[in-house]
Amino acid sequence: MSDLLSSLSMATRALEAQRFGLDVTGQNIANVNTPGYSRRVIDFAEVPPESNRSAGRGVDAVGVRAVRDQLIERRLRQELPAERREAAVADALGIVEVALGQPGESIDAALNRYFDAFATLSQSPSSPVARQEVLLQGESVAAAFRDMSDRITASQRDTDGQVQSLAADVTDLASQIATINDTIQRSGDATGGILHLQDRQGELVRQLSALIDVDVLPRADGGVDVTIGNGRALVIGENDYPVTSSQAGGVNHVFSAGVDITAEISGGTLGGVIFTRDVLLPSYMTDLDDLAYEFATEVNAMHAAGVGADGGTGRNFFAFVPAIGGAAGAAGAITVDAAVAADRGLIAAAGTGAPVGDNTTARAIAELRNTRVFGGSATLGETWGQLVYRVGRDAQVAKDEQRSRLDIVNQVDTLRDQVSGISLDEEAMQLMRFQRAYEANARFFRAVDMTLDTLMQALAR
Amino acid sequence: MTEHGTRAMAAATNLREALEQTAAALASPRLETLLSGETAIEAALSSMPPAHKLPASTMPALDELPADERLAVRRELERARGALLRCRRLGTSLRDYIRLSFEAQGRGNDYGPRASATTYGGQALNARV
Repeated sequence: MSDLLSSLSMATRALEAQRFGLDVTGQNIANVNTPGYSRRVIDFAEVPPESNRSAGRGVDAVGVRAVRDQLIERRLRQELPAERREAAVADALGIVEVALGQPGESIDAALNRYFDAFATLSQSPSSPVARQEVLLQGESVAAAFRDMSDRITASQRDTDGQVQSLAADVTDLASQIATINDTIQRSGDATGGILHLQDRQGELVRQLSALIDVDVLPRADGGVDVTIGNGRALVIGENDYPVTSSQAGGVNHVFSAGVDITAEISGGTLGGVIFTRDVLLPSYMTDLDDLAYEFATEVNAMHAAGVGADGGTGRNFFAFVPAIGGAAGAAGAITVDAAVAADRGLIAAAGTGAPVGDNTTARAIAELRNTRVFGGSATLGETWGQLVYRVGRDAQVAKDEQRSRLDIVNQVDTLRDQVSGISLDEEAMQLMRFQRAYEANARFFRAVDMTLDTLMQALAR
Repeated sequence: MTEHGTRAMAAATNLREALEQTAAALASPRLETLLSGETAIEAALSSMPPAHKLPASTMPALDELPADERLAVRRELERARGALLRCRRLGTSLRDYIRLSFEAQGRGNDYGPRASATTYGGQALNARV
């Protein structure tokens, strides 16, 4: 009789286990579009026999666990900040690219019109109309430099504003994660009962790692501790440590517990915004300043050596207002010298000691268009082209890098969906198929690489 | 564009497209497309014209192209190189994933009574192009 009861009990247990399995499957299907939801799998365990004369007491469902490959999750958390960082850089540079304009439509066009005006003046050095045109184009090119400087400064201000709001977002997410830690801790259940909280927490951590690169350490109770920068605490158990921003040196810096951690942040949208504001935009501004300074200095040197319609000499065509000590700030300060702007007769077209009607200086300035400056390395137009190219290249590299990172995140997510949840044998077989298919392609990669090298060398000549 | 330039450009485009197709198949990832990628890359490679004129060959070489056509073909090849880089990176990530999964199942190559579990360096996921 006891054997019959035992068999019935075993059958009931097995049925319950299978029903539980169906519940789990239903839960997975219902949450297929829930962000952050991790697919559950059921863990069955053999129920041991009561005596050595029994084969066993069937199967039981011992619990549910979330399908979380900790290692892959951790690597993906590293990938996301990198992807978001590049997206932030690409977004910011996209705006700068538009501001710089197309080749032939921006500062390069203003420079050309200025040199054209001097070329026209060289044909009729005493013409008031030609002098007026030189003055107008001089003011136009100076305004183009100032305008471009203002645009880059505006981009820096925009990115600076983002630093402030992103720091506030980081603090907000940290607070939510700490609250969930607290709830998990109070529940005292590190198994199935907190799975939904862990899902929510996982989603919050994912959102956080899109903003800033984080290190996440799982806690024994099922919660997580989060650190940022060089191991700065952001969430420890139920406590969160706010990240703040405040002005230092004219821009917003990020602080944690009173320590400036701006330089420690490299990933996430915040890392990208800081990198753009502190590294990329200042370097573009330096290039622009150098170009404006070189242009004004070269023109001034020739102009000062020439003679105006009044017979006067030694006058600069361009000035910097406010005054600058070197190239820094030149693009934002360049303007036509006040005396020249007030009297076009002061524009020097003739050379020193030359007869009336001479055009030596006007010709020399017009020729500056084709002269290699910056120590003979490039013309002014080429230097502008290099700056435009650099911004475009930086933006493209950021876009490519973002795409590449996103590809990997999507690839791993999809692979997990495609192979997990089926039997281990089927999973292994599917993975082997992918491996073989990739290896078949990879056999050619070295050949492609070598071919491309050879062809590009041939085409570079 | 000259006829020779058009042919060279078409070969470069074929190669780029084959590599982009492979990269897309790795990113999705789609097994069937990945399987057919091998043939496409092989065909694209064999259609590439030689870099330099070969002795006793009538086939025109790439370095004989006019300057503007050379530049256009070079740009296309640079895009192909970008696609190759994506393929390699995604392929390394795929391999890492497969290795991790096998190790988790106890089927890793190094798994055995005398072998210790290998550590995962995560090179693919940490790499920067």
